[in-house]
Amino acid sequence: MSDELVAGFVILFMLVIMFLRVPIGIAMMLAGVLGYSIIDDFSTLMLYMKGSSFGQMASHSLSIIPLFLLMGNLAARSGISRSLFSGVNAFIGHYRGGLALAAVGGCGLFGSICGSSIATAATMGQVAIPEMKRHGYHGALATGALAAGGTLGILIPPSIVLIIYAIMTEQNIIKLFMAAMIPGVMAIMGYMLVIAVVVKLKPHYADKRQKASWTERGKALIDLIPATVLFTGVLGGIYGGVFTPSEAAAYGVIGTIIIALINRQLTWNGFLECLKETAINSAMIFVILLGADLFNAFLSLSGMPRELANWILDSNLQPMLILLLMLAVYLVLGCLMDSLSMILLTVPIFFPAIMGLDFGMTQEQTALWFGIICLIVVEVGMITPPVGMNVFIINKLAKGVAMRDTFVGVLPFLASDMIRVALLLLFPVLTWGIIPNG
Amino acid sequence: MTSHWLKVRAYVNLYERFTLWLALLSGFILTAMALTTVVSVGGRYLFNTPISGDTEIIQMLTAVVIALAMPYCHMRLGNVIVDVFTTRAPVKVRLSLDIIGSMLLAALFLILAMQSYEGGLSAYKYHNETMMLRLKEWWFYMTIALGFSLTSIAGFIKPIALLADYKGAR
Repeated sequence: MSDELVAGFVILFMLVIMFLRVPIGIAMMLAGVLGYSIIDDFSTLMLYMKGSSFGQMASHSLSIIPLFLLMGNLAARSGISRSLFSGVNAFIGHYRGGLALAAVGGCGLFGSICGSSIATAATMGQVAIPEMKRHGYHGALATGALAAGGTLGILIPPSIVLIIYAIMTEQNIIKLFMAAMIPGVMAIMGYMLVIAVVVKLKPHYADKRQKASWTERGKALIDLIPATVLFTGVLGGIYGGVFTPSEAAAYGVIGTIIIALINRQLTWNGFLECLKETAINSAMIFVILLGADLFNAFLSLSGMPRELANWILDSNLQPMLILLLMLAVYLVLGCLMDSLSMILLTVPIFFPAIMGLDFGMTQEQTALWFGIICLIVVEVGMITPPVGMNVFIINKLAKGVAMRDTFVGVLPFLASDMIRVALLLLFPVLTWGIIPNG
Repeated sequence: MTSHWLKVRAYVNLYERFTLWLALLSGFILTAMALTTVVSVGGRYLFNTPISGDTEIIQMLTAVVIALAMPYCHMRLGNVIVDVFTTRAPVKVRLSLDIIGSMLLAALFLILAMQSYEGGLSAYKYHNETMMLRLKEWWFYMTIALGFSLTSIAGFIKPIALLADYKGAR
């Protein structure tokens, strides 16, 4: 049996046990161990494993992951989400559907201090959903807007998935973060447009409220100051070259603690709760990273990604068609898996193939562009059935809204996602165009 | 029978408690890492005196933070699974699959722990140190080996808790 065939069978086996509730990281690890042992032998793998865990875990560039997770967890308990929501609300809340607009805006701002979509959805949801319910918003609009808004958490930098993509493909994290900026703004505007259209078509979904007075607006702006300092510090520091990404994350952790203390929101028990959540989230990510490391060791040994890239090149198919096929795979997988596992699983296979194709851009531009598009498409999985984590979390928070309503409510936002992906496919410059000398 | 299960369950709870303390320790180390970096960056810009070798400290402590967090993550079943295909399966089937998954995790982490231990021994033998601060690499290999061993134990005993809960629920 050829090595590529072995690889095919092992991947199939891995998917089967994954679907049978074996933790994703463990399934990847087992596949790596089995595949490696079949193609080479077990003792070589053991030699490799002597140093591989240390290499993965004692890593300065990966220190950014637990740090950003801690920052996000702290931010969720710091009262920042409330001030973001009321801040945006003071300015646009008087339009019909204004609370939903403010929730999306708040998610966008919160996304710039939090790198995960579930955390963003849950945190803003806790603040915005009760408010929307009080004003008689329809459940579909309220929950749909927040489930979709949550995905801004991962699209708008800092983003855990982008960090992993950057490390796997050896791209510059800062450039990737920059490349996500315009697509992030497009996402916010797209979601706001969706809300405007929905309330135009179904005026009973949301009410109209009085305009906030300028004193109220002034007060809201003052409340926004700490959060603004925090995210301009973190992101501005990274873009301006003042901080490396992990220094920025460290600054973010300490800054968030200070804000939470000033807001009198952080109790000792709350802090311990943040540490616990961070421990679970970071360990979970690193289990997948360790699994992916062994899986990739086996994969590159099998030569399968290279063969696939060659085969695609020889097939003379249109590069864009191949990219669309890959995105279709992401959409299907997204219905089953979380974003990070998907990226770790597919990028080693897809990335070499994409880099071998000619999209009329430099290699770096292609890598940045592909990364951003992947990120958006895998995030779509967060709001589609049956797994759609964001949808479940928001639906649970909203208590009393039917699951069906939430999924229906998400649909128009999905349409906006699709339009955005199409625009980015047609105009790649929207990603890397913002980077100086990109 | 039930009291027997309760007793065993209590031991598993005790272990979970222990891993929780490790996870909190991991969190405190992480916070300290953030503080070190902030002080170092501040020192670099304000007084032109960064903490020397701060990146090495961060690099090595990341391994410690993660290693100490892993056992608790599994005790709380924090690892991501795909459950779409099994949501409608009978409880017994799901329970069996979860036990198999936990055992696989235990076995693989046992191998990882043993190999990291071996790696630590070679690092000790060859006096591997970090460039600036001359931190001994084998300390961190051993911390990883310890974290992995405790995770492996978690993988072996979590099924007991799952079974006990199942029996208790009946």
